[in-house]
Amino acid sequence: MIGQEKLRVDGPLKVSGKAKYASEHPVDNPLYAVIVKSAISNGTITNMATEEVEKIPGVVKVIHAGNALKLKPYPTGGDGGFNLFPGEPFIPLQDNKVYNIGQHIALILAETIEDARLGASRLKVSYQEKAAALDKERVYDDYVTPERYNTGEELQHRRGNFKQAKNSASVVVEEDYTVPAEHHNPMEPSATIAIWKGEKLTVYDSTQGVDNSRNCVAHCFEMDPKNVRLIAYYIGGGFGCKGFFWPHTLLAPMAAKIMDRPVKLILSREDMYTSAGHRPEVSQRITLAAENNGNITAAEHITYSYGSILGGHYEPCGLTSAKLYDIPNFSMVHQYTKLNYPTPTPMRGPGEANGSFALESALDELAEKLKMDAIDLRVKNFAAVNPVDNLPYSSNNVRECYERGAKLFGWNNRNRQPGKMVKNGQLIGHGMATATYPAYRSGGSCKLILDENGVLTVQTAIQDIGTGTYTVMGQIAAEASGLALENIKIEIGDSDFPAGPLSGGSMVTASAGSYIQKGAEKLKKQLLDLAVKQEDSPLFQLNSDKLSFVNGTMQDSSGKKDTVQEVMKRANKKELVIEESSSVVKGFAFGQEAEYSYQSFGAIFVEANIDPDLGVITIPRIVGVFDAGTIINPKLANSQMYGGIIFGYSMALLEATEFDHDTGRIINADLAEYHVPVNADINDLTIEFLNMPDYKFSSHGGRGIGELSAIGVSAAIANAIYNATGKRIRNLPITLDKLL
Amino acid sequence: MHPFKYIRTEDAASAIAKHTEVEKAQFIAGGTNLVDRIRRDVFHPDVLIDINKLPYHKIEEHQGGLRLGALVSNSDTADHKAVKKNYPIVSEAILLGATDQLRNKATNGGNLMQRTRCPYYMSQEFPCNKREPGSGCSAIKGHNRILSILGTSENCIASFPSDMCASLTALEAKVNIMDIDGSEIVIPIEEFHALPGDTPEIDNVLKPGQLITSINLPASSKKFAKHSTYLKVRDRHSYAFALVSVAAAVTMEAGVITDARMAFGSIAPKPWRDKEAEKMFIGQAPSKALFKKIGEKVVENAKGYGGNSFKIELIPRVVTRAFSEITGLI
Repeated sequence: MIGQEKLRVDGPLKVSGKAKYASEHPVDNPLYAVIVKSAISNGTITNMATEEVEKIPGVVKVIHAGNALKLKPYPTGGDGGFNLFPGEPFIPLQDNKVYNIGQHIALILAETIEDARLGASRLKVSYQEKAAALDKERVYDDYVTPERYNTGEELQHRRGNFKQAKNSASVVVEEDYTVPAEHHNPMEPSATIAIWKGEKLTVYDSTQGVDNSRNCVAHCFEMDPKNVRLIAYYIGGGFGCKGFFWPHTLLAPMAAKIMDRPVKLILSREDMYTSAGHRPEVSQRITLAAENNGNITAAEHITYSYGSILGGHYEPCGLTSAKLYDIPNFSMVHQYTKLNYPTPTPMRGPGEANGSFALESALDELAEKLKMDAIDLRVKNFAAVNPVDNLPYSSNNVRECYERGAKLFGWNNRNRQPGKMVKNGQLIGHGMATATYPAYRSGGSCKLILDENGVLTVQTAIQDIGTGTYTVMGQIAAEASGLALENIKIEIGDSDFPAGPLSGGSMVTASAGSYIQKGAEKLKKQLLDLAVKQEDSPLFQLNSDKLSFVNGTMQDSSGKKDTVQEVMKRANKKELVIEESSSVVKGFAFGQEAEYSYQSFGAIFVEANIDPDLGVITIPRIVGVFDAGTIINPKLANSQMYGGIIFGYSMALLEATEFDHDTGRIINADLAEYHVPVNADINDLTIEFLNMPDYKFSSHGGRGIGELSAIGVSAAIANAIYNATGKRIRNLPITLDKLL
Repeated sequence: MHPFKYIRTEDAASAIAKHTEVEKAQFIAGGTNLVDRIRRDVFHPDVLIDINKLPYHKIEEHQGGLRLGALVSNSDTADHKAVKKNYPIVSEAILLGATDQLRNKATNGGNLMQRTRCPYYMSQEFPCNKREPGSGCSAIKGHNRILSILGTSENCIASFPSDMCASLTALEAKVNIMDIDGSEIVIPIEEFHALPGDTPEIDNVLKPGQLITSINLPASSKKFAKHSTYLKVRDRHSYAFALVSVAAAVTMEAGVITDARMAFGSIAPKPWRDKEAEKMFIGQAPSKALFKKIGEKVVENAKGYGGNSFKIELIPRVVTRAFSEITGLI
C-alpha cells in the first residue's frame, strides 16, 4: 500500500462541494463579522464614529477597544515549542495604539456579510499619526540579532576563521541578492466561526494547526483547553499563513461571546495581505571563497530583513548555506530591523526558498569564475556530515539527484558560455540548483478504533492542508494494520482527537505517519493473536508470526484464511481500541540528543528561452529529482512537487508585494495586480524521486516533501537566464525590463 | 461597497431616460471593470442601469465595412469570420486580453468604457486626482511600473490598457453614440478617449446619458488585413495587461510601404497613435533601422517616472519587432 498511486480519498468530496471548509459549516442564526483595518502605520486612534455605523440597517454592533473583552496576553517567549505559538504575540482591540497598516482596529457585526462590509467601509476613524519606521534599506538603531530560529538552529553560527580563509583564497565571489516581500495567497482565505454553548466553545477555523489554535484560544480566554474544540476538516491551502495563530481567530469568539450568538468571520483577499503574515523582503550578501580546484574554503551569508514592531517571525536565510556544503570556515549573520509593517511569518521554505536563491546563484557565479561545471562544483563540496552540528546526514543522496537530473534534462548538451545557444531567434539557457530542506519530526498520538465490521477509524489532531494527508495516512494505516484501504477511516482536523503536530515544516507525514504506523502494527498483531486463539478459526493454533495479513485477509502459506470481520465476530467484540503515541522529536535543534542530521535534497534543472529584443522569458521545461526518503503515494507527491516548482517559478519571475514607500500600504493586495503563474506560463515539468527510504528518520522511511520542491527553483531559473543572456539578475522577481 | 439600485431596461430611450433622472447613474453591460471598482469602493453609483437587453447584439456589414454592436461580447467579436478576415488585429488584440471568462462577459462598448489603470486609483486610502480631483497624485512618486510615459499630466499618469481599442484606433474605427434626445453622434475613436490634463477624472467624451450603440470598422481599413499584427508584451504569458502593446499595420507595393498605422496600448492614458511617426514609413523600404528610428520618434517626448521608464526603451524594440514581422523581414 505504501508507495502506491492511490487517488485522493477527499477528491470526490472536494469536486462535488461536499468537503466543508471553515466558513461553510452551517450555523444557526449567525452574525457576520467584518474587520476594520488600520489605515495608518503608526499612531493612536483618537476617535471612531461607531454610532453612525450602528445606524446602518442590518449592522448590529461595532466592537472596538472601548467595548472589547480584555483577553489574557500571551506569555513572553512562548512555550518553547509550537503548542502556544501565535503568528504575532498581539491581541487586537485591547487599546488604541496602532503599529502597522491593516491592524484590526474594529469589528463590524451585522445580519449579512454585505451589511457588515458596508459598515466597515463607512466607519470613520481619526488617528493621531506618528512617523513610522518603513524604510527597509535603512538600518534603524534598534536592530536585533536573535540567537536562534524557532527550530532551535543558531542564527549567528560561526566556524573556523572566515576572514582569514577568504583572504588566502584564489577566487572570491561577493554579491548582494534581494528577494521582495511575498504573500501566501492560498485559494481559501482564512475564516473563523465561533459558537458558544455555555462554557464550551466550538471554533471552525482554517488553520494548519488545530491544537496550537485551540491552545491559543483557551489561553487568551483563560479557559480549560478541554472546553475549546477547534475544527479544521478541510483547508484550502495555507503555505504558512495558517501555520501559526492569528488575531482574527480570537475576534470571532470574542464577538460571539459579547453578542451571545454564533459569529462568522471571513477574511477578504485584501484582509489576507495584512492579517496572516507575509514573507518579508530580504537583502542578502553572499561571499564564497574557493581554491582553483573548486574547494570552497570559506563562505559568509549575511541576511538583512525586518520584523514587525509586534514581534513574531524573522526570516532565517542563512541556515541552509551553513550546512548544505562542506565549507570549513563559515560566518552567518542575521540582522533584523523592527519596522511598522504587518508581521512577517514563514512561507513555504522560509529562509530556504529565498536563502537558496542567493546561495545557489552565487555558486553559479563561482563556477563561472572557476570555469567549472555547476554540478562538478557542488559535488566537489558535498557534505556527508552536517558541518554545523558535525552529525552525519541520516541519508544524503544529493549526488544521485544531480546525476539523474542531469541525465533526464540533457545537461551534457549545455554550452557553459552564455549566449551561445540560440534557437528560432530565442536565446536558450540551461541552469541548475540544489534543492534542500530540513526533515522535521514531532511527537503526537492517535487512537485506533476497529469496529465489528472490520472498519478502522484513526483519530489524531493533524490537518490535511490540501496535500493528501487523509489519503497518505490511510495508506500507512492500511499497510501496517493489514486492513483494506477502503476500510480505513482517517479522522483528523479536530482538536478533540489525540494531540498531533502542526502542518508546518513538512513534518506531518513523518510524525503522524510514524505513530499511526506503530499503532496499526500493534492492531495487526492483536488481531492475528486473536485469530489463532479462536477454535473456530481456520488459523487456530497457527504461529501468528508466520501469517500474512493483507487487505483484511489473514492467511498462512498453505492457503488457510480468515478475515477481520470473522475474527471480530467470534471474539464477540464491538470494538478494539489502541492508543499510540510518540515523543520522538527529530531535526529540531532542541530537545533530544541527536545521532544524525536530517535533511532532504534535490536537484532542479531549468531551460530558459529569452527573447533577445523584448526580454520576454519563457521556461519551456523544468526537471526536478528529489531525495526525500520513501514516497508514500507518488501521485500525490508528484502533485506537491509540481505545486512547489510552480511556487518557485512564481518567486523567480512574478511575485512581489508592493508596499507604498511613504505610507506602508500595500498597493497590489489582490490577485489581479499580484501576479502568480497561470497555465500558459507553465510548460513541461518532470519530477522523479529517488525513493530511498530513510528508516533512521521515520518508521516508513519517508521525509517531508512539501517545502523541498519550492526551493532552488528560483536560482535555477536565474542561472538559466544568465546562461542564455550573460545577464546576472540578483534581484527578484526577474521581469523582462531587467533583461532589456 | 456602496449600496445601489439595479434596474433592467428593454430599450434605449428608457435607459437614457433613467440615466438622466439620477445624478449618479451608470449603465452596466458586462461589468467586468465596473464591478471591480464598485467592490473596491472607489466608485459609488446610486443606480445601475442594465442595458444587456438593448438591441445592440449584432455584427453587421455596413458601408463595405463592419458595424460591431456595442453589446456583442468580446469573445464573439474575436471569433467573427469577417472580423478575423478583414480586421484580424481586432481579433488578435481581444484574444490576448484577459481570460475566456472575462471576454465572454465583456462587451465591445464596455471595452471602450474601461477606466484608465492605476493601483493608487483602486485604493481609496490614497490621494488620487482621478478619484478625488485635487487630492494629488500618489503614483508619480510611487510604484508606477505599469503607468503612462506619454500623454500624462502632473495630475495623472494612469494608463489605458485596452488591447481592443489599440487595434480599433489603428484601424480608424468610429464610435456610434445615441445622444439623450435619441439622435446619433459619430466620433472617431481617436477623439473618444481623453487625456488627463487638468481633468483626470474624465476618461472620455461621453456625456451623462449618452449611450454607445456600435463601433464601425471602415471599409478603407480592410487593406491592412494582409500586413498587420497585434504585439503585446506583458509580465505573464496570459491574463495580464500589457506593459507595452502595439497594433501595427501596413500596406505594401513593390517592396515599399505605401501606408502605415500604429497604435499603442498601456503606454498612455488613451490608445496612443503618432501620425507624424506613421508618415515616416511611407515610401520607404522596410528595414530594422527604419523601424527603430520610428520607434524612437514615438518616444521622443516620452517622460518616465522611474518605475515605468523602461517602457521608453521597450517601445522602439516593440515597433521594430512588429513591423519587421508584418513586412516580412523576419
